[in-house]
Amino acid sequence: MKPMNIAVWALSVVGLGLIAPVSKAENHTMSGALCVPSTNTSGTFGYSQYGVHRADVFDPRGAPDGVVTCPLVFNNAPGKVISALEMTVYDRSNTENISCTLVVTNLNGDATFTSTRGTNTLAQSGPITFNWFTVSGGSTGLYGVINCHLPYLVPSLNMGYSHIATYSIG
Amino acid sequence: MGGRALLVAAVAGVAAVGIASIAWTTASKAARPTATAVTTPAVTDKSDLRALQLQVEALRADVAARDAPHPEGPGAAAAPAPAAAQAEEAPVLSPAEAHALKRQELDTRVESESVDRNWSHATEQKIDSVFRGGVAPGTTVESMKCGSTLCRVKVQHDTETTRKSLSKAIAATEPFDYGVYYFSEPGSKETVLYVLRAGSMEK
Repeated sequence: MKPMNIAVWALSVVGLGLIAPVSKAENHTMSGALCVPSTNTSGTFGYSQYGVHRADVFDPRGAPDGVVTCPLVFNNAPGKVISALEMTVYDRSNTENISCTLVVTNLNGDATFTSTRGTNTLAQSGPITFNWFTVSGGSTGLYGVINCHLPYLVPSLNMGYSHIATYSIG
Repeated sequence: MGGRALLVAAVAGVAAVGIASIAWTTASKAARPTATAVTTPAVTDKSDLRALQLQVEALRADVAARDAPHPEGPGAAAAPAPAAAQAEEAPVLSPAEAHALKRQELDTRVESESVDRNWSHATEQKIDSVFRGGVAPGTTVESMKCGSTLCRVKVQHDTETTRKSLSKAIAATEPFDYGVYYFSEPGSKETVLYVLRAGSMEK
């Protein structure tokens, strides 16, 4: 075997070992524009290339509730474990926070797993990422949604809308 | 520059000796069943690389297929799927199996882990106050046990409706907000909750 061939062989073995685990991961990233107003919510929402945003303007007498439901795609695999789930949001309110609850359900529509993540800071210009770590689909990871409360627009802050930019599942 | 070249040459030398010995061993083994395996002429370095990549991929798929559980029952004798596809699909459990397995796993965990007295006491109090505070009307705590990262809570419902609405009522309320698993049967008036400790990596 020629030295060049040996070197190529060695490099290919090392290279494949490094590349293979990465290429196996399957991640789906979705726009927040897929989220829809939840049943019974009285909030109004806008959609753009930046995802979904709460369009209601601050009302000191009490702004309406604003909740959207973001669908998850489970790749139709019963019992599949979600290895990664995250969401990127922008919180542009000093008085309210973004709060998102993951709800996984079985065939009967009963919740098998719930988990909530939220912001707890003042308005920020940059993105905030919610991670659900390695949360299993629970007993039967067949269907799932993320329900998110979005704060209303505060014009005096001049920071724009609070919105959900993207979310991804893997 | 001279020192660096010397170092590179030394590393390459050591690697070449190691790999040559592996190649020699592999060639010796392969020579017995098929002589062609070692006598195939090398065409170009690129084709060698591609051939090796394909061999490694085939071996990976073969190992994965051997490790995967084999199907039983009527479908077992059917023509096998391609190795790679079989490896991807084999570990998937049925909903009932996954359901039972997850509950067993959580139950074992709550029974076997050590008790963090401060956290478990505080969490039990919080759980109790949530249900007594009317967050989930019609649902009462029957028993609970906390370890150091997880609590098991058995609750009773007065109606099917309260059972179905439990998750919505508590999902965003501390200490249920970080993560809760729910186990109940349709028509049943009991739900078993496994409440994860905030900040603990699940699994």
